[in-house]
Amino acid sequence: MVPDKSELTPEQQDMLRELVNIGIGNATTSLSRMLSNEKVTMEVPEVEVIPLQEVNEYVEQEKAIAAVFFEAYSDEFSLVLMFVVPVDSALTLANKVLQAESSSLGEMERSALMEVGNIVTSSYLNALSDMTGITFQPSTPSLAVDMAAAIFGTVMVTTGLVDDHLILCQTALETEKDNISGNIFVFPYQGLGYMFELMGVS
Amino acid sequence: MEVKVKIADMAVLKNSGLLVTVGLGSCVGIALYEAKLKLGGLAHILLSTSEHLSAEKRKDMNPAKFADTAIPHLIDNMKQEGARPQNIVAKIAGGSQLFEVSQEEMRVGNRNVEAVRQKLADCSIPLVAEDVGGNYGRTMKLDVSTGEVYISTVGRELKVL
Repeated sequence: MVPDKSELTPEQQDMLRELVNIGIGNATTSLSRMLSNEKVTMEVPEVEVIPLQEVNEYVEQEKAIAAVFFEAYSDEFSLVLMFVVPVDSALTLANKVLQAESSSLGEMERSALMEVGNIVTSSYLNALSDMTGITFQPSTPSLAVDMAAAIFGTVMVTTGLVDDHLILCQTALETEKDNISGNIFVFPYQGLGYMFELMGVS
Repeated sequence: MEVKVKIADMAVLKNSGLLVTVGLGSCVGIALYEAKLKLGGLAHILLSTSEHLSAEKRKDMNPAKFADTAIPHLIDNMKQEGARPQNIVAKIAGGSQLFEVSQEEMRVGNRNVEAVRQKLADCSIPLVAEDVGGNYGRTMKLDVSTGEVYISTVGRELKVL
């Protein structure tokens, strides 16, 4: 549940940015490893409280994307994770992992993407567990390839992230050689108060 | 003129122009139309019912989020523009399943469509066309000068309802 005030103190924003940062460092390392150690750069995570209605304003709405998402639960704190890449990057990524040169996202390419999304997001979660001491229970990851706005709306509805405000943490990634670009989205949705307390910023 | 309807949002437009909502996955777009007045309304709902909300939450809730509150609210908004409820017809789109393994999502999409159909029936609004289900997202545009609804998708032909 997002605080009613729909505001975060600067300390809380920093804490969330840090939380995201640490996980994403891990995630980019594992992405790089899957791409034969190609260098992956990441930007500083953006943390914002946004009205639910604005969630689609953060993506190119009608652009086709591939997205892997899953939920991670614990008694203390839960979140939704999404690994999002534009379709052209998704194809490059799948081909690179499969060492193939396919021209479309077929069954094989989709499985490869799912696997990449799975590894990237679980390495994120591992870092988060190490830092907080919380053991997360991840749901089965799921893949969709479709227009960005439809995917985001569907993830919000499916996971029950439908309060009037939500916290959006976004980090952009890019690979050096192949120009694979992507984003990792983290939406904390339960136990944020616990997390703030744990980190001493409540 | 093009008026954008976001997630959990609704709008009404008269005479000419387009009401547009982008990216309906498991959500449902509800287009209401009064031909005599060339008056259109469009809502983008996320969930089927607001029944679980406490009385307190209900007070300042956003009615466009739920099928059971969005439809009466949109009808009221159209009445304020002079619409007669008996002249209003509906066209709906959405309620699909984008993700491959999500059981919950399939339930949400279907439930949304069912709830919309039921609420339209409760309000005596005839459902004259629909494009629902499937495994792809839709963008919905209501042309208020004609009442036609255009459905666009990624990689499929434009559909007219």
